Amino acid sequence: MRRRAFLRAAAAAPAAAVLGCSSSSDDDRQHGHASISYGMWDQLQVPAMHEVIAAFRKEHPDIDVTIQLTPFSTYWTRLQTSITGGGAADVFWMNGPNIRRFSHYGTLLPISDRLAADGVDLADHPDNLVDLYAYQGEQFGIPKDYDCISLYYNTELFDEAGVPYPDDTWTWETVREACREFRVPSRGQFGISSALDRQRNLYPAIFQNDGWVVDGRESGFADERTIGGLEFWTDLINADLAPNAMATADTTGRSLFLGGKLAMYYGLPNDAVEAYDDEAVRERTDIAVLPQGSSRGNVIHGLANVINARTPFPDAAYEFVKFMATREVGEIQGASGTILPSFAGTESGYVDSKPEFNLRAFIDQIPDCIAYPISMDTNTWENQQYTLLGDAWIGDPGRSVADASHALASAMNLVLEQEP
Amino acid sequence: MAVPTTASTPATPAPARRRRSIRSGGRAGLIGYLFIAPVGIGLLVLYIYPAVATFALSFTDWGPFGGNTFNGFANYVAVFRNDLFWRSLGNTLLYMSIGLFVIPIAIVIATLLNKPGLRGVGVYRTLYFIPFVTLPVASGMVWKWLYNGDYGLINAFLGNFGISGTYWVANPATALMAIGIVQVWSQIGYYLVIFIAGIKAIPQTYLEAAELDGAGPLRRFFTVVLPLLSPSIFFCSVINVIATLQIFDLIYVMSQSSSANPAFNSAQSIVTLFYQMAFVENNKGNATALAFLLMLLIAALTAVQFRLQKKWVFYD
Repeated sequence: MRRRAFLRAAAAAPAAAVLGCSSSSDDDRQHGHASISYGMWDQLQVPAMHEVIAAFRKEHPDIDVTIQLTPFSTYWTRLQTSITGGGAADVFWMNGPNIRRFSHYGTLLPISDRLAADGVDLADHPDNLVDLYAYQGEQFGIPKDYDCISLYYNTELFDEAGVPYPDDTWTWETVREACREFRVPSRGQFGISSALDRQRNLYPAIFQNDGWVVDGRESGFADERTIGGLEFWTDLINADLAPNAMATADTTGRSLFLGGKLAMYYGLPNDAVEAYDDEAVRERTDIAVLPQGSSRGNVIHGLANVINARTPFPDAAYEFVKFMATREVGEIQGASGTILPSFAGTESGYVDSKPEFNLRAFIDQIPDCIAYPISMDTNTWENQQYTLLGDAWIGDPGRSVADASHALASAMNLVLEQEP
Repeated sequence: MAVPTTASTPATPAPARRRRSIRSGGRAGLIGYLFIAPVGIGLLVLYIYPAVATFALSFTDWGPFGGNTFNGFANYVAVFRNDLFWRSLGNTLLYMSIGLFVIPIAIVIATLLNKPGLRGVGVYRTLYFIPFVTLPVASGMVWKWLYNGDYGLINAFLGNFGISGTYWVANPATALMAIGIVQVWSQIGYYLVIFIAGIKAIPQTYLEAAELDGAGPLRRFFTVVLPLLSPSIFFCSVINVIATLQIFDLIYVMSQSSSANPAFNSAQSIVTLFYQMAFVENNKGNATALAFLLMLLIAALTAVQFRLQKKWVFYD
């Protein structure tokens, strides 16, 4: 690819010299017939991406885009080594936990100037998500989709227990009361999943208790409010109103819910796909906004498209990323029913794809959302969360979540201190 | 290596002289090296170079995207200060101890399978060998399912006797043992084959003589079979210790979960910690130091075993 780029540049140089100066249209011709690759991990989204590429090719017939699919389990390892050694995709998916490290080490192409020159302001995408992909005042990625958390519930179990369906009046107290109604030990039936799952359970509860996770080089896990959020879950477990972490490690909360053993669980938009595909589950499932704690609160995360700093075709890659941020692409992605597109107003395709579910709940909660917490070495302290909080999650009231959370805070502070 | 042939020729008898001239010096020697080249080059490129490079890199600070700077013993200090290192070291030694049970179990089964007149030995041998040739990832997945607290077969079976089981691989108290048992189960076939061969190699005359002297089957087993089997036992224990100190895939598969597994720390080995450091936390500097420490541990334990063998291994 390198050599071809060089040859093309060499071939174009005399032409530019003859023309005297290179206007912007000449520039366009210079990066004509570029061939870029697009790195992603989700097999389910490939058909929609083929549609997107076809639409892009209509506007830019001179740019070829090929998809490079890597399963998520090896995506980051492979991306990191291929960026170091060369040969990484020109445009690829980025997530919150990794963006700071990649941008800090100069592996991504900054796009603020290009966006400004083109008058693209990204106002149609959720603010906190756009900010997630900015580092030191420079934009490195444009969101493509987003997710937050909603309450999935099993209508059959609600009818059976005579509990009214959840709505926006529900609070943590309502949940606790309802869980008592749902508990049937002989069937292994519980009211809600309190799995040690940071995105689905921990962060929404922390934010609803006005707690926080990370701020600069300080961990929020020593804060009483953060601990209070965690206690929402551990209290349920210790009162035997929710399965402990040993149970949810063996069988995830989502599987327990799909299997009819849980009346409620906190889920991502993606989780709707599996629930919808099974007809029996589809009929007894619906979705509501999260019950509120001391405040409403939710966590928003989404993927972004970023550009490899070492791409031989920065202009073509930028054109593709810019195109991916348009309404048209949002609509294609939404209609595929796989994810919630981040372009405001294009979610209807996704909502309409599963009319039996109240998928609006996700969109309605955007104003409640706080951005997914990250720092430079996000993976390291995310890992510590699970290993250090695990003790407090096994249903032994003797192991206090406050102690575990304080231990996590000190371990996390050490990591944050050493970040570059 | 090239010993001058002329210097040693007068002292050696004729046939030996011919052999020696093939082994060293001249064209013939070159051909020898050519023959070992495929393995030698592979060893050099795939094992020795990475080992040396790892050692060198364990004294550097790695950027996540390459580029390393010398930082002395900082990585080793960081590893020693890491609580998880000591915990996983303890776990690894426990895995090693549990793993060693494979040897007595395999010896007992091998003895039973060597019983004269036993039919279908081939079938039994194959049955025992299958777990060994099955991918650890595959058998780990199946066992994880068997161990499942809510839907697993083991708990369903125990339920018949009114015993309520636990979440075997998610309970911090049982996870290591549960995984260790699978490790033993998966290795039996390999050691079984070695011990069957070892027992077959014991001259029948010794056993007959012992029988004539009035030794019962147990006595014959402990005073004739076991001592003569000791070289095989020694080989197996060395191999087994090396293998279990490097245990990774079973733990990786069985304690992995999409939400957190509270037993993860209680089941983690040095190699899973290495994986965690190198590929999840991108801390390759600390990880290489850890890898080198593991190599030292293996070398030390192997050396100890070679030392001790003089006391108990009996070469006929």
